[in-house]
Amino acid sequence: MTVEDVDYTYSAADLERRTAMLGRLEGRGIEIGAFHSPLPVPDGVEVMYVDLLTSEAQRRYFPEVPDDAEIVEPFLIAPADDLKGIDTAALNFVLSSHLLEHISDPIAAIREWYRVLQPGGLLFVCLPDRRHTFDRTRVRTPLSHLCLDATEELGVPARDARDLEHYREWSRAVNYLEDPAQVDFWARHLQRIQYPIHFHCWHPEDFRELVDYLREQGATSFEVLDGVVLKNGYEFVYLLRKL
Amino acid sequence: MDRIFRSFVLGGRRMHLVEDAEVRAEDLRTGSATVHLEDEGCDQVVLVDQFRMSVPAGHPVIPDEDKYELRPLIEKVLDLGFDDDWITEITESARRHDMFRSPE
Repeated sequence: MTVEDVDYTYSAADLERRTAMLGRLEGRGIEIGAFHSPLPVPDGVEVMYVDLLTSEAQRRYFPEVPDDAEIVEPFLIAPADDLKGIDTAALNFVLSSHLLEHISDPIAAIREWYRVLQPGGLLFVCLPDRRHTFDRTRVRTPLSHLCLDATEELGVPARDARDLEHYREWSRAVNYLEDPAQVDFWARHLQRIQYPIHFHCWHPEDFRELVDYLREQGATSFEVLDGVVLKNGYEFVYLLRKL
Repeated sequence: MDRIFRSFVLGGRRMHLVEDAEVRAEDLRTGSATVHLEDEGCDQVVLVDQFRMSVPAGHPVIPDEDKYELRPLIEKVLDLGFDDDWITEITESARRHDMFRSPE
């Protein structure tokens, strides 16, 4: 079976597994970057939406989204890795679906999500598997790269250069540009508009490695409650609990 | 000798940048781009304001040094060999993100 042949829809079994994971949610929490596909949660669970842009700005930023797609209106406009306005240990859960790969410093984001969770709070993270998306020709992101991103602020030349290389990879892999000068021009354009490409791409075990590393470093302390692969390998989901 | 720019399609109309050096200098001074509309057989000055768009609240603000000037941008993408679809993609993206600089 080739990548193109894979059925990327949720099977009944997939939906059952995902529903079981989301069924563990209770209380009050946030979904970050829900955009036009908010996750279904059990009745009685209160979800507030966080995004970088208002729904109106998102429509402008992503013209490819159909006009009739309903974009959720965020209650908080904030970067995923800097949730100012949310108190420490204020939430029962944080949901993040197909978001972490769009963040240039994933460690900062996970640390921030850890901060806003109560002890015992749940973190639901859903990510695409590099091997089954347009990322398949890109370099799998090693943990060492994420650690460097976490130690250098945006604006530091080395960090900006690493981000630019991701934009170049994206221009080649997703926009199908081949000429190096065209690739460079378009990559710099995307970087200027801060286009949220997939900065990093992973396999399921990479995320587990990252969670373990952050615990070893004392940066966060999550217990992995569940991990599943859905949509014939297209995406993987982890449910973590803050210890 | 003036440069010859290839023709391209933008907004459904086939055009090329007017090559005359004085016209180019005026374009650079005013932030515009003078094009020759090939089907109509006439020149038209495209003002940068026609390519500007207000952005909604919350939209990232592009620093002035990262913005483009209209004619140099078109010349650049032509020089780089982008096809017509890409010229549309790039100019439309720049417009949507309010990336065109007004002349001083």
